[in-house]
Amino acid sequence: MTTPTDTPTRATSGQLATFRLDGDLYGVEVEHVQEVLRSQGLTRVPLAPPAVAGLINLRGQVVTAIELRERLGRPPRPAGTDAVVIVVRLHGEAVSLLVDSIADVVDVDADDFETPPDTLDGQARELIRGAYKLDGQLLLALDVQKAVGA
Amino acid sequence: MDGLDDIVEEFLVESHENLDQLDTDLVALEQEPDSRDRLSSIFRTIHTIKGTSGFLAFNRLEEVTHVGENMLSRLRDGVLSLTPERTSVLLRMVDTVRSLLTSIETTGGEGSVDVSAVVAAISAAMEDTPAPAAVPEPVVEPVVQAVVEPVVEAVEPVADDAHEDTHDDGHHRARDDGHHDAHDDAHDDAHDEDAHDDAHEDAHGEAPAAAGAPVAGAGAARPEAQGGGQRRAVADSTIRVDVDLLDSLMLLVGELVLTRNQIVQYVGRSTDTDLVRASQRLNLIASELQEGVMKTRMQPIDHIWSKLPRVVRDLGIQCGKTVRLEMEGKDTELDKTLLEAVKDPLTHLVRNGVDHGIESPDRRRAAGKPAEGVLTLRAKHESGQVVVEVADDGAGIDPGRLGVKAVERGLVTAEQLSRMGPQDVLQMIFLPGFSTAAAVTNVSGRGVGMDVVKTNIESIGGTIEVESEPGRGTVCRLRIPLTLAIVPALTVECAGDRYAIPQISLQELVSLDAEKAANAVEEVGGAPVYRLRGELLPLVRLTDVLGLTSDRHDGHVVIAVLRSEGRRFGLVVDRVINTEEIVVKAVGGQLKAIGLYSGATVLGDGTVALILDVQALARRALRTETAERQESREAAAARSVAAEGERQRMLLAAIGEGRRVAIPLDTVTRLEQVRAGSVERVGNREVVQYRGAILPIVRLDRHLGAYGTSDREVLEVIVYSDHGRSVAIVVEEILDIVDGGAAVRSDIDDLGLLGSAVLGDKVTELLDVRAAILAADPAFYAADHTPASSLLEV
Repeated sequence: MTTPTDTPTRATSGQLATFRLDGDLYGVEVEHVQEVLRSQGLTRVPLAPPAVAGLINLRGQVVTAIELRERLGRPPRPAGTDAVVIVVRLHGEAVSLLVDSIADVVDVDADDFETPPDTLDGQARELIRGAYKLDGQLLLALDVQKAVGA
Repeated sequence: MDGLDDIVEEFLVESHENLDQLDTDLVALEQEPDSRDRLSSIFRTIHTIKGTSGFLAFNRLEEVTHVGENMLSRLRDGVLSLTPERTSVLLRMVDTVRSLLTSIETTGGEGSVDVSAVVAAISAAMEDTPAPAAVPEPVVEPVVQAVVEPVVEAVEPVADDAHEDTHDDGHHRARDDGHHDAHDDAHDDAHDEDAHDDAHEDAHGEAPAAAGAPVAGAGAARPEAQGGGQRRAVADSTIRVDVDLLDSLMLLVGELVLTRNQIVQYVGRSTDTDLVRASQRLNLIASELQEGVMKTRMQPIDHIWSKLPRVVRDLGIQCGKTVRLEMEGKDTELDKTLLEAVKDPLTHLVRNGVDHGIESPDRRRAAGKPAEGVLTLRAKHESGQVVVEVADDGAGIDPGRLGVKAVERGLVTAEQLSRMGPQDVLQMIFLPGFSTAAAVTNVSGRGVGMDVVKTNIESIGGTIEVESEPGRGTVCRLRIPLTLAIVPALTVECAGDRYAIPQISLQELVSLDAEKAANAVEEVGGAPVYRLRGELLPLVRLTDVLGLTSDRHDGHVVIAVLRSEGRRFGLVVDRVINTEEIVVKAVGGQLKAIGLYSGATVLGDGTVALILDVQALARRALRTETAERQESREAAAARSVAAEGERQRMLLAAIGEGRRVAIPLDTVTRLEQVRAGSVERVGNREVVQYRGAILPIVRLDRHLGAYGTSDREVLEVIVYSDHGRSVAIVVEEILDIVDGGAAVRSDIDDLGLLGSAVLGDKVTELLDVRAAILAADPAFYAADHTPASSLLEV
């Protein structure tokens, strides 16, 4: 599998699975996404890095869940709202990302791509490859590899 | 057939496979006669069969393969070139080998299979160097006839024989192809198809008749002759299976077991009897399936042991020692992957045993032992684990020397050492950079090794510990899980989450209600300990390690007594849930890096639970604990300097007549109970046998001039150890552990006392430990502080 993330800053066309997080729209390459699940029972892992939300049972497989809000330096998800779990597969290993809600699969054009705006702060900047300028909205392309902290 | 031992059986299975490959190789070789790879592979196969047959004394087999090997080696070296004739005789050789193998398989011997013809044919083909030149000539009838015809005649009966015997399509299809190809080629080359077709036909026609004769001898023993339902031929009764396939099968069974657990748990609440019955059946079948699949991966430990007699022998000669190797429990089976992983550590332990453990014959004789040393390997199943012991009857390890060495190397401080029990001292041989060998030999003693052994064993979830009795020998004990995939585990609850602890580390569970816990859990230098049958068990609170807050507020204490590296410690958890077979799942790198979890698992109810890495836990908790303790001690020392008073934890003991004695806790190694009847006398001293050593006793009441009731059945004993020597201090009763810092001190003292103090509202005498110990063992300090002790003795 050739991962577009190998060259993070290059503009790529293709399909992104998009999701919302703290009001913003993000996208990951659709080929990385294995499945999307509703909120799952999490087993916390004491002493783990803060971004590790816990472990989930994915049909008998134990998968680490990364809280993307924490990873991107956003405030914690408001109480009473459940996270949506995006299971991504990287190098044969499944990892899951906790996001606010899932949105559509979007066709993106390399022409609309721009490197991350300078206003993006440090932690998030590391994880965002850039932005696609959609109609009326920016779609931030997430670097999955970095987001799962591999 | 029953008489066949394992070696022959393995030889047969392997050879049959190799021969099938050989047929294909030989035929392919004709297409590319220059392929050195193929030639080498063929050569190797024949060479292997030859070697083994010579070893197993199958002379005719050896003869055939020997001459075949000669020819092959010349072909390989380019001295001979491959001609169809030569291919044919080689194929004929393969068939002869096969029929010999069949005979060995059915009768246990080479039977009546005649090899002289094929040997002669091969020899002839080897000498027949001008053959390639002769072939193109039209008038080759006599030459070719001579070579080819016997081939055909001899081959066919054998082939038929094999057909009937093995019922293996694969076998004879490969062979038939080979023959036809070979024959066809021979025909083409000879440019004399008609004549040869006749010969061919003839041979075929005769085959059934001819087949009867050579096979008749073996016929009686053939499967058909023995009736329908007996054992399959050796080669057919086993198959080689890719380990990956078994792995994935194992994985699936693991999942099945989990699902089974889940279903059984749900159905347990149901009242539907049919459903309950079905789930019970599922339970049973899943267990059997799991066992069956696990068995496919099991191999007897003899697989790795069988190489050790040689190792011991060679090493013994090298070291000038006579060593006998004894093995117990060869048949003990364990998972193949684990077996592989254990191989090197085990070999290392055996080498160590011979090199360091067993003394030279002279020294053995001097010590009153037989000159021949005995190294014993023991393997057995014990509560879901395999226990492998490597025991020698050598000099044993002297904890004193070991301790001194450890201090020299800076692995521990003298102070730490003084607090360690002999058992703890022994485990230091597993520290990196430790070697007790006086000289570095080429065998061992380079200070690498035991720590590597330990790392390897731990990496497969096993544990290692060492026991030694000076003068009697050393035992290294490995505990290895039966399999890696499915592990029996204890599930516990801590701060609302569940964790799994592999049973392999678990020794026992202790549950204390609030009332008991308040008394039984004591503190030593700020670290909680529990007195488990007299031994001080350091306690580690799982909540502290994990940085969580316990949700248990009723004061109950549940302790899982765990063993790691020969040391015990108690893990305090909130609750014990149950024991359950868990399937170990790897966790991502991020979680591995935490170093506290060996994996995760899915429990019966579908929730994920982390598996605690007990070794890592012990290392982390016990180390930080000692560090903390040290810090607190240092802090206390600093405080006491300021307050001009010593802050010390004291053990309070009654010695009769209402007198109480305080003993500094840091000098106490262990609390024991000894039956009064077991006290023996050496001269006018009292001693007791304790852990294989003679322990001198001092009765504190007599030592301090108090005469308590000495007719007690059980004596309360405080064991004090230092530098490998121990003494037992007998008191009437162990009362309490108190903080000496708050006490009012006075210098009112008496013989054997340092003074007195008010501890726990009562006047308590402070024991001069040194004097008490010297009373029991005047030589106790002789080894290191001679002047001091002589002063005190005055």
